[in-house]
Amino acid sequence: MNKISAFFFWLAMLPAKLYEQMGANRAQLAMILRYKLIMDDRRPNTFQQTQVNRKKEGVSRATYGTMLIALFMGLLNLIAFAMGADDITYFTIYFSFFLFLLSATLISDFTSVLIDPRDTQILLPKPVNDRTFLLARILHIMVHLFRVIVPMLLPAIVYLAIDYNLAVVTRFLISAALASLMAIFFINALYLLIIRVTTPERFKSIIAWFQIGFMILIYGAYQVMPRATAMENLQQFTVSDYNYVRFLPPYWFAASVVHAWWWLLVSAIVSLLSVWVVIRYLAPRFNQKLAMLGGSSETLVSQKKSTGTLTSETGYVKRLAGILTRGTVERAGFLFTWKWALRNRGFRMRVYPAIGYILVWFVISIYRNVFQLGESGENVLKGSAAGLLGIIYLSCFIFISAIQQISQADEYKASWIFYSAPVSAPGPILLGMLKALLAQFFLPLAIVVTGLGFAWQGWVVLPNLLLGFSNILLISGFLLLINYKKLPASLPSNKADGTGNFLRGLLMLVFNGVFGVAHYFVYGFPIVVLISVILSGAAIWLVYQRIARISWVEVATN
Amino acid sequence: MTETGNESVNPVIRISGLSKSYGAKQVLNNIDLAIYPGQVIGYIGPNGAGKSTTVKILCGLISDFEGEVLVNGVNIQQDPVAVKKMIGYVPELAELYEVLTPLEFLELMAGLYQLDPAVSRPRMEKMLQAFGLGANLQQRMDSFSKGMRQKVLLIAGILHDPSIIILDEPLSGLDANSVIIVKELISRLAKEGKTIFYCSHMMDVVEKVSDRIVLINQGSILADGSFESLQQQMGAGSLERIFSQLTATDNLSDTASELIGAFRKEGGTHE
Repeated sequence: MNKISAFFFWLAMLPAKLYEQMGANRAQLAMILRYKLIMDDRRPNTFQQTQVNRKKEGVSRATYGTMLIALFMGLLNLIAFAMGADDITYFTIYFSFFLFLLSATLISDFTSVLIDPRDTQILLPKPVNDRTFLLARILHIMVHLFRVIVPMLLPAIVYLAIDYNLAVVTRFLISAALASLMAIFFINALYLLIIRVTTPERFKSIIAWFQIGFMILIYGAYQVMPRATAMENLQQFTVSDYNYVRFLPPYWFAASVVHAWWWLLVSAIVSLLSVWVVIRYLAPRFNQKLAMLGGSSETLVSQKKSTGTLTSETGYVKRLAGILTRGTVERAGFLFTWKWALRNRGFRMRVYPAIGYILVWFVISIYRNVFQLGESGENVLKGSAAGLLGIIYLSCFIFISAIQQISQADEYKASWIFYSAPVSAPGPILLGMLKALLAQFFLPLAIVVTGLGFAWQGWVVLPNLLLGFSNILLISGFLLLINYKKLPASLPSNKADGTGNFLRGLLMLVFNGVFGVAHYFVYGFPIVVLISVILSGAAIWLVYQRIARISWVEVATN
Repeated sequence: MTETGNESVNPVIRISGLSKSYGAKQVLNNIDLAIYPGQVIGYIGPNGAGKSTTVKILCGLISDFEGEVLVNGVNIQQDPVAVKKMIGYVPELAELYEVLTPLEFLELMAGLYQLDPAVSRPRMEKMLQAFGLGANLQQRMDSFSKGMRQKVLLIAGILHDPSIIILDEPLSGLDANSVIIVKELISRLAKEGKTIFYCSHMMDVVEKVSDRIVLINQGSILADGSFESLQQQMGAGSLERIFSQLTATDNLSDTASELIGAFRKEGGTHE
């Protein structure tokens, strides 16, 4: 147990006498809480989970990481004090950020830390009474909340102590405590909603999706917010102009800091009421549903059989495989990669956030280019050429982040099927894999870019689009030949070296840039562009032929 | 069918009229069972027969059922904690907190059973040593093989010296030597008067280890007795054979023929 956890443990166990009076067994309670906290420290947190080269063993300070991230978010929240014209606006915005970030952080961590389906198998058969279990869970949640809330509030407390006075800090702390209670209510309600509309089995993957979405949102906000605060009219803005704001919780918390005590009363009543609803209604149902997470798989199997969408999905994938691949081995590689990339939770957790970041980046680039087009009248053609090329060459970065991860899997041992199958060379499998990744992670964007290109310039843009896309196919093939001669889902996740991946990413950036710049120079000459398309196409043919001939020795030594 | 064992002694587990359903699906249907001290019960049945539901009820994991379960005279619905104290449970699927070391995990278990550390600490070390995990005491279990995890779970199940031990596929993942050790352990524990509730799919092991076999299918008990008495009723043969006679809906040899038949060209004849 690290020092912070030890401190919280000591703090949580101070009222041990009280716990005993409530019917809990003190020694058992301390034991469960102690080990829960130790396990927290050793379990990678949300952000560490998405890292490529996390070491499964040896994580021992995960809570420090969680606290640092919370501190960082707390600093980010300070932006609120730069938005608007008066105190009530500052605090309303601050509490909106705080409520959102706290709920989002907790909901991601709740799954990995606080809700452990193994508890049913390991703890529940032990002679421990319900009160002790309940109290252990509540204390664990409290400790976890403190680990997130304290660092998240710290920057604001320091800022308020300097810029305002201690009375404001005190009122702020009370409001923040009430806001935290409300966040807990939100989370519980959301969890119950998710569990109600879906089976417990899918619950975990929905939470994973939520985590991915949350990280993308944070990144997007981080990209957009500084630009937004620079706007002049935002500085003039005050929430007091809008009457409906009085019905929103962040305003109550803000008003209890800035305005009168009776707003404090309103926030206190609503927050405590929501906590009561959690304890009285939501938590018991939740525990019931949670108990199902461990077992009851038998009943689920029959449900899955009748899912109609599965067959139609595979039907269209198979048609796609029929068009894009040749031979049964390449087809098998294509189909496996396609399905595995779509369904494997670990792969999604590692790749989809990156995809999200790139998409945010992508949308911002498109947005900027559109604006450039409208404002600078004479530079229309030049601006869109660079913009269009930028977007074309950007569009392959999602594919790159996917191919970096496709070889890594927790269940890498299952890749024996590739080695034991009578395949003379793994080349066709790799080619199928490449095509599947391109079809899944590049094709959709290529279609969007084509649409944008036509909207900008009409049919004239076609040769340049062709050249851009064929260059990307060529670069992807090169990339595989140079770096990624590895079978899909065949290596343990921690085998990949992070720095190597970073350098390779950088190399790709340069590689891509060179192609992009070269393309830019020939952009205005359709004949040259068309000749380049033919050359590029020939190079693709050569590279893909080479991929199809990759031997077992190359795969083993790569 | 008759129950074996010394019926003048009070049963250690008495299950009467036990029923349980999930929604419309009836998992257990009016089960009556009395188990006596020192018995090794082989609890067998096909997938979905209701084995794990019975185990979960005995362990106090499921409390909303119909009927009555008494363990040493204690009603499990009224005082689950007292019953849990008497039971040692080894779950299947090697479920444990793998970020802990085996010593830490066992310390947590011992704490929950309220064992004195002065007693439990040397005991867990000796048991881990005996199972050949002496070198791995301080190593986190995320690097453990399935067999190593199973050994830790076995120790966690018997650490508090329970009078009833419930084993759910305890041999899965163990190597041949460890299997011998565990089988020997089971018969020694039974000799010391402990009751063992052994759930498994491995018929040959159940046949050898158990002195009473209870076969359930679709939530009802189909057969109950010693292996010898089952043989007398069903005709000589292995437990595997008796099992399939009682539970298989199709003729299993026909199924094999169909599998082989799939190689033949479509439209060709089967025979």
